[in-house]
Amino acid sequence: MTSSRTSRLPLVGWRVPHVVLSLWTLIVPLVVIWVVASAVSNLLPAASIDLGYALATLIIVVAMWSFIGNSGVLSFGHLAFVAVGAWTMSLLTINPSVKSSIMPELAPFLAHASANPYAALLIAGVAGGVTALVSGFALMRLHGLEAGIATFALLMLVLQVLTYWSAVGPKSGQSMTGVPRSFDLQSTLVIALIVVVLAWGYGQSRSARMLRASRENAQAAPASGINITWHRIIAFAISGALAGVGGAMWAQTNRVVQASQFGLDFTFTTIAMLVVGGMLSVWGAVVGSLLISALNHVLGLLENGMHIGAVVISLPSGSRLVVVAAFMVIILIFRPAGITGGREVTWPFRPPDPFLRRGPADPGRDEQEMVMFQTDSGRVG
Amino acid sequence: MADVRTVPGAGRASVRLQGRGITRSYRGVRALQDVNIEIPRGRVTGLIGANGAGKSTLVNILSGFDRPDEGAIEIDGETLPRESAQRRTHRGIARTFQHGHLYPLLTVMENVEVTALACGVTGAKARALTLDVLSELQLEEWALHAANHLPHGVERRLGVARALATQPSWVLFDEPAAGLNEGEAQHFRDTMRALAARGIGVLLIDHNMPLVFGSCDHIFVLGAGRNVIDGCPDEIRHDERLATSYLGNAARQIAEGGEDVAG
Repeated sequence: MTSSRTSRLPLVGWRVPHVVLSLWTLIVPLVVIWVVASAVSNLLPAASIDLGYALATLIIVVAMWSFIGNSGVLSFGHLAFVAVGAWTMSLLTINPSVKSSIMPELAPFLAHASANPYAALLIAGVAGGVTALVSGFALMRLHGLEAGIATFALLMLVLQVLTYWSAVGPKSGQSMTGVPRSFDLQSTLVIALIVVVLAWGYGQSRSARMLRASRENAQAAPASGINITWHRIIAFAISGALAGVGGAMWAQTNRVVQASQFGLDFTFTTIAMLVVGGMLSVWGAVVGSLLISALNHVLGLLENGMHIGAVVISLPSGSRLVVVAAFMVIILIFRPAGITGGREVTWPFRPPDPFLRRGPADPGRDEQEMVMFQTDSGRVG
Repeated sequence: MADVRTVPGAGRASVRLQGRGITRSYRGVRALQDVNIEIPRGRVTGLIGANGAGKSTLVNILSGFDRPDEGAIEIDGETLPRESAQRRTHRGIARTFQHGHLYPLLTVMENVEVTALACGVTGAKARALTLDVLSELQLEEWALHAANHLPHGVERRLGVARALATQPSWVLFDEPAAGLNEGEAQHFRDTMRALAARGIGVLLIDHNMPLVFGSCDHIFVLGAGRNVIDGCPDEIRHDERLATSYLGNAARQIAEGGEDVAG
């Protein structure tokens, strides 16, 4: 014990409160997002359209992390909540006269509903969250691959409803046009940062900590008193709400919304972002989505033909997904836990010793423990 | 420290966890047939028997991880409802696993703290309970290590620490001493006696006969899913039925080595 006590004091007098340690895992991602967004909008004005998409996608990926990262259950169905959010935003913000012309069969309460952008954003979040909560009661009893496939079935179900049910949208297969651009780039950035704070805050909660334990070992969790199903449902609902916000932001960026946009391509891209970054940490979600968005932007330029001096480099259209997929495979082979290794940003110094925080330093403490222990056993033996 | 260590009702000797007439089959194969067991608080109770005798099945049933086909689990004569394993944990019945079952990416401290949190202890109290439990099992120096590459003995102690973080009235140990060296086993024996001394009911399943006979107040022997005998160690040590239920190795081990350690 003596040797261990010295090793327990790596930095004498350098005591960092735990709050600082955990806030660090939030502040670094926020600063990185802010710096990247500011740099792109100032230095590459041509890329600012893609930046809007990148921030909306970031929200969606961080939302997915809230569930996937904490529960360890891979969900292929989160685009369902994104679609619900996008739908809600569109129905609430499209000009009523436009709405009645493109969606004549809309249910009356939807036809008349409208809200200011911020209220619409909140309602989109609630809609996504409620959809997730309701489906969660059925889906979250499942484990592992079954759960993943069931969430995919949910996506298919939601997309079919949105495609063909003309009481909630346009006629089958048609799109909702004229979604107004409600938020400028600055507000989009702020909303993205708020979503990261919310997701991170959830990650610090008691419920999320229990869920992460169950992710590590589902069999042991009940022996710790953890109700896995319940905490998964909570995570699914929160994650669905944030995904709804992401869908709303995506809708007002894209300005045209159609159910088919939220299918396999988008699902694959968002999961690739999470996997590449490292799906166990919010930092991984941020890094992965920014990186793949940047890659997507560059590949988009190349698909259109990029002039470098006299040479025109161009890729066949559609090569974006191929390259992103190849990138994901390479990451999976060489760094299976993702670029961040699934870890949060680590405090660059050694963490504080939890035992240092207990009352006045007592050099004889270990020995006292030992004595207590022996008397305990001595009493009976 | 005393406040988190003391179990409510520790003074009452009458509180006991019982399994009555437990029967369980898997696809027609009887794992347990009309088995009775009694685990009083403040005592160390042993459960031994050859491999396949149904020991782990019984622990699973007591801890809510499995359900009996027939029979009842009772606390002080009151039958417990059919309930999930985490409800059993909240009721004060904690268990450990044969194969660790830790949370590998969490640190040793988080392994314990999350358990305290799940059992209704919050905030600073959870942290205090965690640090107490870690000190008690001498895991302080491992507190910030991830649980995925721990020495075997430390893993075993962490399993115990996690069970204690539920503030249990009973702890069911499923082969806790497997792979422990003699010193560690001796230390584990002291730990169990200490738990019993503060009113926890301990159930010990193990194949280490010197440990079982040296630490238990009462021992139940299972054979082929049935009660064979039970009694205090001295009563059953030389009972023929113990030897016949084991058919060999373990019985010899008891005859040869059990006495020195037990004294």
